[in-house]
Amino acid sequence: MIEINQVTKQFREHLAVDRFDLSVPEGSIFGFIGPNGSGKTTTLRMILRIIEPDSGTIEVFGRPHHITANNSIGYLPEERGLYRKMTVMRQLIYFGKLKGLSKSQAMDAANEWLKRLDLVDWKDKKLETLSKGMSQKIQFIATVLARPRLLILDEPFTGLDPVNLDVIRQALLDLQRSGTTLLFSTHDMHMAEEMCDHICMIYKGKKVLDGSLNRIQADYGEDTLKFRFRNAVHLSAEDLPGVTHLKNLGRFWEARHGGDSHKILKAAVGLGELEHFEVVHPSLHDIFVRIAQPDQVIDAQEVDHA
Amino acid sequence: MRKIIAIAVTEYRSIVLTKSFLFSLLIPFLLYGGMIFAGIFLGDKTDLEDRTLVLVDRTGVLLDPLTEANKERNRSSSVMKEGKQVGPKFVIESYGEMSLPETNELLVELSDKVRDGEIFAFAIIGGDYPDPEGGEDDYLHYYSNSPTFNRLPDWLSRTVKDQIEDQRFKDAGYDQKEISILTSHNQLERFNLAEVDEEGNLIEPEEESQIAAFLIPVGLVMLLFISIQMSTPVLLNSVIEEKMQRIAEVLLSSVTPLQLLWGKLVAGVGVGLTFSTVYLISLSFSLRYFEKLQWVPPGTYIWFFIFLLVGLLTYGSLFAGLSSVCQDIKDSQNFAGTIVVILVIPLMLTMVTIEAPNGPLATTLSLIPPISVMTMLSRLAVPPGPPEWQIYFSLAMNIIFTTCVVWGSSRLFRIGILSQGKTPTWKEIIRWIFQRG
Repeated sequence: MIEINQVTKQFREHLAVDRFDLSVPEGSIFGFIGPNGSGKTTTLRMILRIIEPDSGTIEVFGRPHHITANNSIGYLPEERGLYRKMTVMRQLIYFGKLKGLSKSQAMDAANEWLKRLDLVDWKDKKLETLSKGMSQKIQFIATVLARPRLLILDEPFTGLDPVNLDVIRQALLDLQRSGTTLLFSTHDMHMAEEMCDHICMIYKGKKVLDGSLNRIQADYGEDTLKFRFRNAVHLSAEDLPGVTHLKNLGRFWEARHGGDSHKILKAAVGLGELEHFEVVHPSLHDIFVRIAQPDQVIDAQEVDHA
Repeated sequence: MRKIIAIAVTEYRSIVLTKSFLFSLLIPFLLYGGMIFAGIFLGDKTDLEDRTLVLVDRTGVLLDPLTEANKERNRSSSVMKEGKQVGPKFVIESYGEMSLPETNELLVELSDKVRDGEIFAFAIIGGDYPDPEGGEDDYLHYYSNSPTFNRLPDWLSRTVKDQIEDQRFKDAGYDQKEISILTSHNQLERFNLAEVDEEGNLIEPEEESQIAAFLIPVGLVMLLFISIQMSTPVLLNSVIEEKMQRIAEVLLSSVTPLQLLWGKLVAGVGVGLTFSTVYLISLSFSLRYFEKLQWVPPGTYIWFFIFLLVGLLTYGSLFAGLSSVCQDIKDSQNFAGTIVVILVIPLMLTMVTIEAPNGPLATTLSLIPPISVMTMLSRLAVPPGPPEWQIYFSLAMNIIFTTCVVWGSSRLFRIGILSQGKTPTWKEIIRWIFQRG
């Protein structure tokens, strides 16, 4: 669906994307993760041809030189934008027309989505009268109105309350089931873990992770321990042999180790009333933090576990 | 093309379907209707109020002739027409006191009477006024609290002058009537050039109208200016809104920057054409009503629309391009100010170019875009118009200039519309236009 080869983009002295490769399979839900300023939005904009790469090639739908105004691509930018003084329906018809729909097609599609997202009563209201959550749903409708083959979403869940988040997530999954390929960037690792078949992480303009979640986690091995004490325990990494990083997650402790997990279990039993001990793959969140903030991972942390 | 039309229609509707714009379209019809209404219903309801003037005649000789002259005036066609009063009558009253008080007392007394509404005005003629040598009392002073009513002081000045001149001629031994006959002549009358029709018959030259000679070019240039001013700065606000509300990125995922720019330009052109068409139709109706259609030289309207189109594209793309690099309304006002100055210069020079339409200044300005848009139009509206080659040369220069401006603006727009942070300097703007990618 998308093939990016050796793409580079520089803004003056800042190298935003550096010889970046990416392959997004058709029909997948592809998570594009990375810390702020890592080059995610620049990459998405280059896929959409909103900006041009300095070098490298980008193919979408198998065509190397597709036009920006591709009617088969829907785009939800991170910073939402709609006309505040325009009514919801006029706005949706306008965006539908810009995606190549006729007025009646746009109106039919808009009515269908408004009904689905419970916004029918608001279709003749100006956008400025709608709440933020409603506006976000209208923006989502404007993005998917033309039934795109490829949907590019930049932080689609930011600012949504849990109810609306579920509604949008369900709508996205339905679109994917009907054949739409989803590529979205997110900071929400939990959401990425739950939804994505494939994940790519970009850091300082370079690709640092790429593949299915299972494969990525397998690459990191089972170097993570998750355990819980029934009683409050004062714990530090030195108390557990071979543990290099220790993190208090609240109810649980998470440790990264390079040694024998059995020795660590024995040591943990001696430290308190251990009620849970598990050897696991590192979470996507943990992998993200290890790559994005290698120096700031809580090292040999000493905390009271209440 | 469908997307450009979709953008243009949406932009056009958002500009035209506003109360302020619709009202601006109604103005010429209100004016035109108002003139007809005034003609039909208010024609006989002119000012008919008598104006009483108290005359303090220190010469002792002017009161009677002035009273007599006023009686004649009140019977003349400027006051009475076909037995019906059409203008205000004047009533001349003499200051009744046998011995005139000091001037200051007199001024206070009569001023109070004017203020109380007993009289309309008063005048004092100094005792030395008729004397050709003059003297300390050589004056004619008129006092009122109605400074805009000129008919009475004008009549008084003219009539006193006639009376004194008559007296002086008599004193010098000349016959005033004979001198009047000897010096009387008709005023100069101005005509257009004579023409011969296809059958060789002379087409009578028409009387040249000084009002038309200035009114039509000034009116058309003003209309061109207002049409550009009404439609192109709106693009600036539209682009800024799309940038500030983060709509631009959504739009650019569906259309290219060039399509977006052209959609806006087409809308701007549509607005300008709508506005000027309405005004030109109303102007034509007015000229037809007053039977003055010949005041507009043939072909002027066509040239008006051609130069308007060029002007709208040039200024529209300038506004859209420059506003795309701005981060907020305040920034954009600075750039807009520069463009408006370019727009205003030829407007300010219109009177100069009309007075000498083929002079070096007018000719030069009418060939340099974008100033030439207005200057050439003002030359075209003054018969016989500029040489044909100059018109086409000016048009060609404007088309080349407009193409360059639209190209530059689209390059700027492409980068500027997504730019955030500080507004670029002029140097950076030029770099953006020419940079690759």
